[in-house]
Amino acid sequence: MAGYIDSHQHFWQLARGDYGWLTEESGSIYRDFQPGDLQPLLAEAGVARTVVVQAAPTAAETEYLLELAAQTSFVAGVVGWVDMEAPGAADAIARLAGDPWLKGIRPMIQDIEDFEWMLKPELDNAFRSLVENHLCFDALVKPPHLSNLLTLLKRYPDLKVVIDHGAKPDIARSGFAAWAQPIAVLAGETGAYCKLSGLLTEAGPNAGYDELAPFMSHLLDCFGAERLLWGSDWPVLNLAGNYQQWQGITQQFISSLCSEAQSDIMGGNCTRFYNLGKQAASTDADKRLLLLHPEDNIFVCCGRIASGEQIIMEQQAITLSKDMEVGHKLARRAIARGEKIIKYGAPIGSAKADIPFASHVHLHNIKSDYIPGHIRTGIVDNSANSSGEQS
Amino acid sequence: MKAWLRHDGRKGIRNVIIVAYLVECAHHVARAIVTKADSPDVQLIGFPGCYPNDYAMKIMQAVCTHPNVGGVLLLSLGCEGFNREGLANAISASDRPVKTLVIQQSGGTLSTIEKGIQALAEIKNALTPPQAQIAVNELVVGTICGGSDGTSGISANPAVGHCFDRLVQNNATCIFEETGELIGCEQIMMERAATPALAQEIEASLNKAAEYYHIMGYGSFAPGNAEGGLTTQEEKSMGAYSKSGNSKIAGLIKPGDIPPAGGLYLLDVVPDGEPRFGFPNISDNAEIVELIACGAHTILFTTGRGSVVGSAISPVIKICANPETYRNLSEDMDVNAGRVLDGEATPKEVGQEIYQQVLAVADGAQSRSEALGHQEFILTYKQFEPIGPSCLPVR
Repeated sequence: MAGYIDSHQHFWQLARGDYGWLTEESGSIYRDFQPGDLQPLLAEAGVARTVVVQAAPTAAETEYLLELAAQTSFVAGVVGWVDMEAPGAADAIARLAGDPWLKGIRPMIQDIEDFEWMLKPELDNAFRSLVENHLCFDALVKPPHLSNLLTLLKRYPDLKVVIDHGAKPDIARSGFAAWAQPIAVLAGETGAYCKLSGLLTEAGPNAGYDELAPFMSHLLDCFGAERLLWGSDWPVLNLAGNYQQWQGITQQFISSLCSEAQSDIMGGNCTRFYNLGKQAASTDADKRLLLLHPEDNIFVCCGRIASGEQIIMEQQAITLSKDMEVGHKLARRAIARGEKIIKYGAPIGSAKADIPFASHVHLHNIKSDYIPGHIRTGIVDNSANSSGEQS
Repeated sequence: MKAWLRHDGRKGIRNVIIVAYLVECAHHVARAIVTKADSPDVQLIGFPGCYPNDYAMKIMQAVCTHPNVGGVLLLSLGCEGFNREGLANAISASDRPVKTLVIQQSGGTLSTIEKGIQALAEIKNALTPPQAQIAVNELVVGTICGGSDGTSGISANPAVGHCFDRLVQNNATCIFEETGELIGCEQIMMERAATPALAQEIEASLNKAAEYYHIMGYGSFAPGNAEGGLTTQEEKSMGAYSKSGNSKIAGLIKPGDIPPAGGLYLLDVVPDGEPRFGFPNISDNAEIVELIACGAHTILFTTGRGSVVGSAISPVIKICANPETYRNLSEDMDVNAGRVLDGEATPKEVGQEIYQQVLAVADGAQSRSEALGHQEFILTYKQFEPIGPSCLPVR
């Protein structure tokens, strides 16, 4: 399984009632779209994980998405919404940042009449809070917004920004010229990322590879393979095509690139940009391997695994050479001597030897970083010596 | 969620009448009154000591004016050191019905019991029906662990952490404690503090805890922990600490302090000054009482080996970490976090279930321990200095 990551998809439930833009006139997408609808499409496309993006300008919808994320194994992150103009925006962002699944914020700039909105001084606290809390900013903009976006990004050079859907060039009405120059300037003068998504919708229902190719090429020229994130924009995508078709178009487009560049666009960049951690899709990993936090470099065994048994870890088949009891740890990747062991997203000690991938992490190769000479150190060291030989 | 609006603006999710003995000598009479009343809403609490203690006064005052409390009957022998007038005045000032019976002035045991039953009826008549609605951002939720085993730190505690994250996102108030079990997490806790000055206060409180437990001869990391897969003190502490989730720490409070706004708070339960009255908390319920004294409407109690306790005043929700224990003691458990170890759920999914359980209990559903009639309460001697100005940064 390729294990691609879809950097941009939506879910909605019409009865929730806060999707102002979504009406009966929206046609085929005016119905509920839930994880069960997306799952088979992902399986067919070899997509292991997704980032779900807000579709309503309410805190309640973000709550709803975080709840869905909790229940949905393929969702790796959520891009939510906060009222960035509210006096308490900075606190609201800090609170949201507490959820390890919340990765970024997206105001619906394309629906805001005021083109200068993003530059309003009232938003300053919110942007600063995004930077402080290491959250990303999804810029849902169209070509006329790009010059203001450039000003904004220069104002907040540390803000992690991704431009949604290549800034929505008007492909159907030959909008190349109006878009190509400002997007090139933005890519050249900032570190912004860009999503390779949504273009089919801008091209209209009868478009195919040939119509999209010049736009995709320009994005690749501007951002390079290291700053493009592949995404589907499902289910909005259904207005102009379908999941399989869009993936086919993009696969064809990147097929001439080296394999590293392809895997960057199809997932690596998304993981790095949104800091997704490297969770294995839970359908692949052995259920006895518990990942307590996305940033952990160890798994905890939550069931006994016998010596000689073959298990799947990080999409690799491995065979254990010793019995693993409940509560013990296995290295999720190779850990070098001196590196921190991360559990619960926090350091619990340092490797005192090189620890190979999938090997037992225990008293024989980890030591406490706890303040030497502290009154409790004696107790810790004694127990380490007494049971160290058994491991 | 329906609630009772109190004079101080806080809202209760229960409306219990407290019968409180102010010295062990009045315990029997108080218990006899509660037994005769025969109602789950009439609950017994008390302080056994004859010598006055500022901490005991503060806690009694805090729990008697807790939003879940509708009225109070105080039982005094008559010659104990407890400032019964001060307590009665504080309850009265909170606009709650309060009666005080002094056994030495009431004709002895039987006569006081009879007067107590009458007093309860008067208090009951003065109670008001629930007229308010309580929202998630008005809830105060505490957490503790008790009867822990190797599973606590990988199933129930991280699940409670996820629940706390959700609650804090919704601007509820969440309180975690056990500074003595958090030794080794200083650095990461300090990084989560809302301000650098608060970080210093947190570090100082953990150093105090380490010193205190050292003097008490209390060891934390035992060989049994290593057999369960644990390697370092910080790993063991992180297991307990994971109950707190990932939110910023908004403040450091001490028993009886009411958090001023929503957010995550650390409750420092280790006494200040030289160790004087023994172990900081002699059993789980002592910590539960302290969380309730800080305004907790409900308590999330994680257990691996299987505690069965509940509490007076605020319902205790039990989250069982170990699937074996759950099968054994399921009638006492509200949430089976052991499903994580059975590969049936992630800690986050269990966290969602706990979150829903909190909302249900806040809406009047009984927790298991509550339905089973558990109303444990224990209060002993301790001493605390007031918290410093950096402990509650203005936001």
